[in-house]
Amino acid sequence: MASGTAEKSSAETTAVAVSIEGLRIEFPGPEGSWLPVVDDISFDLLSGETLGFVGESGSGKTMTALSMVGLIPKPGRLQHGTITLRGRRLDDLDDRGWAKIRGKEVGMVFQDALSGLNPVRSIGSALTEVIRRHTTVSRAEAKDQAIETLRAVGIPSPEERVDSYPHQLSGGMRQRVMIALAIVNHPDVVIADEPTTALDATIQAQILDLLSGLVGDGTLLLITHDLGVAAAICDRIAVIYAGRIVEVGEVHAILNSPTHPYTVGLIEAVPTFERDRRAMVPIPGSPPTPDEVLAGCAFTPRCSRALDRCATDRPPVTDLGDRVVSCWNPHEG
Amino acid sequence: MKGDTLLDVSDLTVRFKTGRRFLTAVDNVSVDVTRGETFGLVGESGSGKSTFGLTVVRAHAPDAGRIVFDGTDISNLSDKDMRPYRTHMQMIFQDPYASLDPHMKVSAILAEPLRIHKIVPRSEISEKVTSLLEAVGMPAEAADRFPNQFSGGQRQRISIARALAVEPELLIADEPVSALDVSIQAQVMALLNDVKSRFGLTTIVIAHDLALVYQVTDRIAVMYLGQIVELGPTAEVVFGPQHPYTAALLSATPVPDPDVERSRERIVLRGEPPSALSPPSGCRFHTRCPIAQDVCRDTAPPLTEASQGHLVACHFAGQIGPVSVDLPRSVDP
Repeated sequence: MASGTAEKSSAETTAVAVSIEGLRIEFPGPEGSWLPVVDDISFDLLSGETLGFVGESGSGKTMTALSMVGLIPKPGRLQHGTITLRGRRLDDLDDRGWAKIRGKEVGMVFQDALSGLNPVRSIGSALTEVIRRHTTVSRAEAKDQAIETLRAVGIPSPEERVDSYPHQLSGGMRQRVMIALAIVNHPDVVIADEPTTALDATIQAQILDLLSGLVGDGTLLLITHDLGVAAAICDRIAVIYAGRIVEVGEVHAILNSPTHPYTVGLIEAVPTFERDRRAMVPIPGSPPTPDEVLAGCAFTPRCSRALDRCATDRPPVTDLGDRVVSCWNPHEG
Repeated sequence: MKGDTLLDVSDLTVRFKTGRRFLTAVDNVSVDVTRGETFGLVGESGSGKSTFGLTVVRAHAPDAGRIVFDGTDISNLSDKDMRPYRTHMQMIFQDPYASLDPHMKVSAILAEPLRIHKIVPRSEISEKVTSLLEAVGMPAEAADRFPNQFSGGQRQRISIARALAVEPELLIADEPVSALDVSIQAQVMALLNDVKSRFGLTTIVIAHDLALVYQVTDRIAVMYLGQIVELGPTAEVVFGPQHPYTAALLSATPVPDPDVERSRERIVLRGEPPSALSPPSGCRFHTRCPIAQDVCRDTAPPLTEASQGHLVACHFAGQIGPVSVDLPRSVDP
């Protein structure tokens, strides 16, 4: 197995579960061009933390996550960048190499549990397949493990439910099964992409409870468009806009004293229960498509604090201690 | 908020036949909406809130009860007799991708209702189309394009323009922003608020997001399994919920503040909403209610006035205790 980034100190490598450096993911554009949907994203996912990836649709958050399990959909390509899991380079793996990582070292939970589950397969059969793909246990042992995992994710009477098919379960129960599939082999890292978005509020609360309980000392990358969900269970938050991280840091810093104008705008746009009902301030305009992204900061056309240079020059990356922000004219933290 | 009643719905019941059984989607619901008011209808999937809206505009026929619009009982009008009333009430939907004909130019989409209902003379149609587009913040050139050339937010603006074309008095918005990104949601809600005051509309906002409904409404009704469980002035319902389901819904709505999210006690409901095909006996919420007693299993609590204009259907109204949804930075009135 190839091993890159040897220059990292051992103290750092024990703390970092996944390290992403200079990630650039492209899709074909008009006339043979390639357009980036993820453009120079770097971050570390620390051991034991829940990192929230927050951004709007098309921002590249899902594509970043898919790259971490080798599932960038065709015809997209990883044009540049390294993905390192506990010191091991993953980005140069072939399909067989990725198959050994997925479901074993990195577990995944997707938004839509119905399309993520095979409809003609019982949930027990789906679980035992994932178990037996990565370990050498008997069918009977695998089934026992499947039942125990279903119990752990709060499926009532798992001994009977193990023989159910996805359509026989409610949306909330299917999402629990998806989580069971993600954690059954005790992976180092779990990536959850909008795990509660398709669910009703009271069911979302149950699933968030479950996720934050399960990942107590595990490592979770939570992708969400919902700042409230991020506030509830994340330790750190990375805010993504047009394929780049604009602000990343400790959850209180990002949500209570945001400095990037996009982060500020996003928070002010969210409806809350404030007494004076001042929230829901819109951000003007709409996010750029990949062919519209500016040379400088992509948020410039929607930004009330934009300076002349913002459209043309890539903003500097400033480390403020509790967060890192990429902006020419940030708010005071 | 005092004024005359524009819409008076009493004891409305709507059933659907599914196989051999009947599903009661809306069960004995009474609501009156005052002229100029913004009324909110909140509930999770399957609560009957959308069916209520569709029945008010008579896309469905009621099985029982009365819908009185501006003094006229429209509950049993034939399609022909209903036609003049269609211009008085309009509805917009969650998915602006599905509700605009992809084969029609925007000009044709907006001209159609103008022509059918003879809103303006033929010669003035194109002028009116331009002014409708302007009213929703779209350039006149949009008229020559097709729906797929617009973003989700822009399509929702076009849907609103189409609804405004017939100069309605009542606008029902069913999940108007739930398919849109956060920054765009705030734009569309601001637009709805703007057209409401500019055109003197009465609006009903139907949504699953309690915080969103809190932001824009004068009164809220909370629905569970086809019935209203609580109805009252918005701030009273949100800051002093009397029904345990309202309290649970409030506590399950995450807000983008990590301190609030980590300190508040979330009421996590057991289980999932039962099927409307076989609703529980007594109080329909008793199977998930944290404070249910024996009486709740046997006797359905009537909707009764807890304080003036604040109705609750619970044997133990107010006993869940106050649920804090306040953000620390908000100020008590």
